[in-house]
Amino acid sequence: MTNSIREIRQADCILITGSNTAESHPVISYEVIRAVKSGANLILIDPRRVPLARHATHYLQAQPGTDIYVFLAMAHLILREGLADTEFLAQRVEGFEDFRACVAEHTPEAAALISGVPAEQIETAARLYAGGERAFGTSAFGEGRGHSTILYAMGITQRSIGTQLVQMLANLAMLTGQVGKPSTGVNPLRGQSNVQGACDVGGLPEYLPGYQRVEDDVKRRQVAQAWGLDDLPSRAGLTVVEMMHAAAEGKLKAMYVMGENPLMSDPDLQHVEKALRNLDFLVVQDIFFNETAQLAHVILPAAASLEKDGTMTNTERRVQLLRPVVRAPGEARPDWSILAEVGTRIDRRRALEREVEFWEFASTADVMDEIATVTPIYRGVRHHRLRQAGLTWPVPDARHPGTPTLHVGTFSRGKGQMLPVTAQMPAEQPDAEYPLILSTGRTLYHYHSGTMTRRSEGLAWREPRSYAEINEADAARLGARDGGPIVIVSRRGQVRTQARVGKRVPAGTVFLSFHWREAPANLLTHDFGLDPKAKIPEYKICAVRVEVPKRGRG
Amino acid sequence: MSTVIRIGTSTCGQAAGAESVVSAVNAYVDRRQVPVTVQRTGCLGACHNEPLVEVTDNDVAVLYGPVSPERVSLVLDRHFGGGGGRWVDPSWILSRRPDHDDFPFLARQTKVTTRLCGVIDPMSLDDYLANGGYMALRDALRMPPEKVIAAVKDSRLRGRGGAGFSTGTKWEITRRQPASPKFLICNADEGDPGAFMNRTMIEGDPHRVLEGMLIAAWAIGASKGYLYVRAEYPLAVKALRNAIRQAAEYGVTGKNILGSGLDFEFVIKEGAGAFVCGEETALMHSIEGQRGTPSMRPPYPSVAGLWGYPTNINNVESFASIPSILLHGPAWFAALGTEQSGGTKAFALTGAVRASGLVEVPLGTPLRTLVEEIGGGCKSDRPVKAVQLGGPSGGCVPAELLDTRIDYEDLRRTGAIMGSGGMVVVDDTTCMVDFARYFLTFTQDESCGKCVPCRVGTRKMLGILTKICHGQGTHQDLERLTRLCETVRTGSLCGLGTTAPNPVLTTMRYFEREYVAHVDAGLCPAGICSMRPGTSTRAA
Amino acid sequence: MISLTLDGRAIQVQPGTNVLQAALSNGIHIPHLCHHPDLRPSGGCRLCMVEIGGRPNPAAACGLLAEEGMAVTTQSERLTEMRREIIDLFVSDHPLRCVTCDKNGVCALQRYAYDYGISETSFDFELSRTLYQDDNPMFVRDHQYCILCGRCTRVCDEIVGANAIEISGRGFVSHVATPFDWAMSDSTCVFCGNCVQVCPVAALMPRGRIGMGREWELEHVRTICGYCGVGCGIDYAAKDGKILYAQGFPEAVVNGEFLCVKGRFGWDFVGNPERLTRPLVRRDLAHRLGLIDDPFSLPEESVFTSRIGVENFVPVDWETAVDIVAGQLLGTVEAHGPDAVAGLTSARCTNEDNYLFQKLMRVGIGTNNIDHCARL
Repeated sequence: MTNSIREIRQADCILITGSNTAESHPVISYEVIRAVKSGANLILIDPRRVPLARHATHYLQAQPGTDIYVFLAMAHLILREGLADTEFLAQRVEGFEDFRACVAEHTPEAAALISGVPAEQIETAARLYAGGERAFGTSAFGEGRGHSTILYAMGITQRSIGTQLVQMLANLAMLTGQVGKPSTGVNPLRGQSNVQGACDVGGLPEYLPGYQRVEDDVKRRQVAQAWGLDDLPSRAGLTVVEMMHAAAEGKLKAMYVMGENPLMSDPDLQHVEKALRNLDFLVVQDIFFNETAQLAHVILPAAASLEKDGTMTNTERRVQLLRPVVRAPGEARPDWSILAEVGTRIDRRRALEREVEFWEFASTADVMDEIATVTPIYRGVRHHRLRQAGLTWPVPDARHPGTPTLHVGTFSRGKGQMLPVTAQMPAEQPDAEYPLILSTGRTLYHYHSGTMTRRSEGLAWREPRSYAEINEADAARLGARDGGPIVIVSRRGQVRTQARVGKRVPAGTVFLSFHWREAPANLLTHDFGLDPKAKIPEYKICAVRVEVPKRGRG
Repeated sequence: MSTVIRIGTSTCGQAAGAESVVSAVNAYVDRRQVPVTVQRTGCLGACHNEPLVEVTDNDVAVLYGPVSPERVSLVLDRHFGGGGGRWVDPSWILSRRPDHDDFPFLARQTKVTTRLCGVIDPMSLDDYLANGGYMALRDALRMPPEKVIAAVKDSRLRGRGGAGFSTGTKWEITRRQPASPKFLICNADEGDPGAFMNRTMIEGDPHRVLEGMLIAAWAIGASKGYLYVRAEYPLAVKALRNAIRQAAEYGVTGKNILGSGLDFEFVIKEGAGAFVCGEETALMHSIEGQRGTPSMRPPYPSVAGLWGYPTNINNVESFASIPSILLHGPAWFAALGTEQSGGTKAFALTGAVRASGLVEVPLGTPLRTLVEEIGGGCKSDRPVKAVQLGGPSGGCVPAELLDTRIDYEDLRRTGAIMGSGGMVVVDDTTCMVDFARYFLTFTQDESCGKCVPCRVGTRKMLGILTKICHGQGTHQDLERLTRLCETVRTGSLCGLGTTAPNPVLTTMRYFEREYVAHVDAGLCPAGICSMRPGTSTRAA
Repeated sequence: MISLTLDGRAIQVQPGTNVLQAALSNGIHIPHLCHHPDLRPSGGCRLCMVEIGGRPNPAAACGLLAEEGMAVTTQSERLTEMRREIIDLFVSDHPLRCVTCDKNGVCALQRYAYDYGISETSFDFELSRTLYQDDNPMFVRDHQYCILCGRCTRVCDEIVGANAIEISGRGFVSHVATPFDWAMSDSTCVFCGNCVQVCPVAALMPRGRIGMGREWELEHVRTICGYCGVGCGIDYAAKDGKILYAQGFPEAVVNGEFLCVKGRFGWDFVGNPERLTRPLVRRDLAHRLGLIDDPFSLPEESVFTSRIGVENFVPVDWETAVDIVAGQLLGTVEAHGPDAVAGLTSARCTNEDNYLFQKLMRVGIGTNNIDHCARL
């Protein structure tokens, strides 16, 4: 997030797209509700009528995969009506002219035809966003232009054009100067407790800690030196989906999986299973015997987050301290200490002699001290500094108070980069055989592959089984009844689940959450529509058909 | 001039059978083929004589009542001949003069807001126009809004909902708010038991209320007006709907009213019958679609009302007073009343009096005039014991204080309040403990439950009063009751709670002997209380 | 800034601050039950009444905006008398079963009853609400304790936007209800439990907490939620190594007192008997390494149609397990090169875990094949 969570409550206008905030990030939805109750406009752009739509002042139901046209048309209207922040554009942004050219043909009327959102709605949304207009009440900022913020999540990024979409949202923000000020910005809502931190500290194939590219010789060698080495591997590694392909092809032989369940969460699970079975060695380090663990050669019992200390970095870049609440069961150990053990063992087997501290740390605080030395954005992070409110990175030195709002006065890279974007439809389009679009995501009561939440009494009671949302028109046509069984079939596989018939999804669309091993949504999804840059699979859109099993069968 | 037969067909008239009277009159006219105009009107106020029939012939008006359908031909034969000289009981003839100044009930009144009630057909815009309707609006729209506000301030009109805040000042505050849009609300959620001032005014002369609101809209800069009417007033709602439609056709609602640039629309909102919704903040919540419970002030509605926008709330009677102020001038209106309060006040006079109904008198009129001259004293011929003003929120004024002038301050000094206009007269057969208990039953039932003094406090007050009425009270209970009254009075959130102890406080103040008799001697001096637990203490 | 005096003390507050906030933030405690700093003032409990110089009647401090030059008295004989009377009214409708009550020690009503010396009501005790609703595994609604402060209905409306509950009925018999008193699960409730959080008495209680111990026996630990990326601070109350309930806390920088259903009620998986507690080696590998005698081969049917059970693994000690892992990984590196090994690190593990994982892969193995589910 460019801005912090608490800033949302003072926003004058909030644009949410590709985020089921009330179910996937409920506590952020509370901020949104507060803002709306005190007069902010809430523009919601989503094919699915997610719960927050009830509070939206403007709900734009774009057909799946067409939101890019809506955003382009918003920019078109903003330029046509002179609502852009010309001063901001002149002083802080580059690439505006190229961007202007790319929106010229995207009139609201044209976008309306493709997206199904009436042109007037697109125009109104554009005006409200650009001007930071409130529904009622007075702005906390007392400026000519109110403050607008954009919140988005996987509905934007899990798309074959995810990078383009994110760039487009950034373009909208820069176009109107809605960035670099309180309660503005472009704010991705991240889905896991430490997905931000895992990226920050180098859990990515192309980045060393602190987003230093592995190909960057200078930076790579700096990190190597900090570790007492000459150099480190310089070729970017494989992403998740690439790993599975490499494994299936026999190029990848061994995998170490820590706290992940790819055999539920990766796309095209039949392929993933094939890939994992093809490995010579698979080690799974987890708290439960999950689906991936069933194929493991060695399973290492780990402590849960409630049983250990350390830090996590939330979606607003805030590094926060964990405290153990209960003891880990049996012999389960915190991941970091297992890893230290494995590292030591590898060195020993290689007869390498390193200082003991290379793997062995007395505490997680000591690990953080080392993270700080190699990670520029964490340079000033120390456990003892995190006790009150944590620290928001970048924290360039030990006295720096942290950076809740990014791009104030100047962008991290100097000038803000506006880039032209190209509209494009999803990788797999519905056709006669697979006429419906399947979208996957979370429900309020469950989390990811359900390993934890399905073992929680209350959550499992509230949402005990898988279901698919289907529009009442489609259901009527197919003869599916509410609560009755349906089978969803894609080119990759099929799952049987229960129909939830209603108006939440538009006609032509089916929604299925991916928490259920009895009905794994990812048997249906595909891995060929990766975003070229981010390599994210298009979980949100694939083509399926729905069948209603005959009584007594299926 | 032709002959006009007017029949009062307001709720009160209808309850007395006015519809059958209308049929009987129409049948008579058909049968006799007499050249008359039959007109339905609102209520003239003389509810005790309903159904009322007024026959106006060559500037001579004769008012009859009560006229049952059987009496119709007898009465009309007097005017159109025939019938073989059958005898009309002189007591049916209430008045024989155009101004009804020979009918004490009406003669002692000064009708301003109810001037046309019972005179015109409330469903006819033409009737209203023929009587000067919308002239005041035309005048107002030619004046700058500030001058309209100044006129209302000069008139010394004070809120007729009972609190008595200067209407002009309230308008001025609302006008001064920078936020827009601004709203108007006409509070017609008349919930006091036995009160029917608003109902009568709306049913009898709906355009007057609309005109008052339109003038207010101009003065304040409001664009929308809500009429919050009790759902139990179907006739009033019908009259308003009709009037709003007519006003639109006539061009006094909608866009650019009479070329002034004023845009204004009316919305009728029917209340669901909760007493507390007469409280302005609760009323606004109800309009917003929320639970009708009061909230704390400030902010006052004038600053942040409906949906947070500046909102001017006035009572029906306040709005109905406005056209006359503009037409006759603020000085005229102010001169009607006292030094502090201009104009007249309408009361729903009920209880033990001989003549009950809607009465309107200038402010400053002694209570005695209402009770004894207009009301004609007690129908039981027994002495008046007390007058309860302002319903369950109000207080009791004992007979010895009947010379108190009707004015906000004078009444407050007695412990009673002006209230919205409920006035119940009781004679000496009433037990004042039981009387207070009756009002407590009402408030306790109607408490919204939000604040604890009102929710639990009134419950406990009622418990203690019931104990006393059952002959089980002690002096400790009286002390407890006194203290509790103070807690509820100062501690409650809204007016319903803060005024709830008034009936108890005033009866304890003026009729302490009766309380003491219940407690000490186990005796109800009026012989009303059963003095036995578990039994009803009142006949009614 | 606005200057006013509270009990003679000069203080300054921002415009728009109410007198209650002004007092509380300056260390002056005015009793209050319905006020909550994150909710709009209600004014229903009437305990925060204060006297203002020049005004005849006391006013509720929560609804009173601080004004320049205002002289506020928060303690006086009259106010004490009033507050006593109000507490007396509250407890005339609230069982004083503090001895067995789970809220004992943290109950706001109990606190004020203590402060003002009200040990029992002086009125006739009469319970207006007796409903006991235990219709879900997460929280219990025991209406006899409810004081109708309306915090729960306000949090449900103003913060959560669920509008599952509202006060139903009028006056003495009103109560907090779902539409038509339906079960919680048939309402729009999202089970965030923020109503439980803000309830000042025992009317709304986490189910797992009931009868499990007195408040002062519990150990409280504040940590960060392990679910989504919001990073809410959560205070866990535990006794004898078992978590009894979770709650938000005002100092939590992201979420304040508010949590979602997963954060507040979704922690009980930690104690699940299915937790992995010992390192395990699959039987075929164990056989190959000479740990067991019987051979084994992994069933070929998909894990989605036939579950491969934990019985196909043998427990080993940590020494053995770690040694196997190091050996197998190194063996792969030696046979196929470092890029034949890949690792998935975790978006649910700590920075320290992730850092060491990538260090292990980059240095120990020598590959950049590291990723995690950031994309998923």
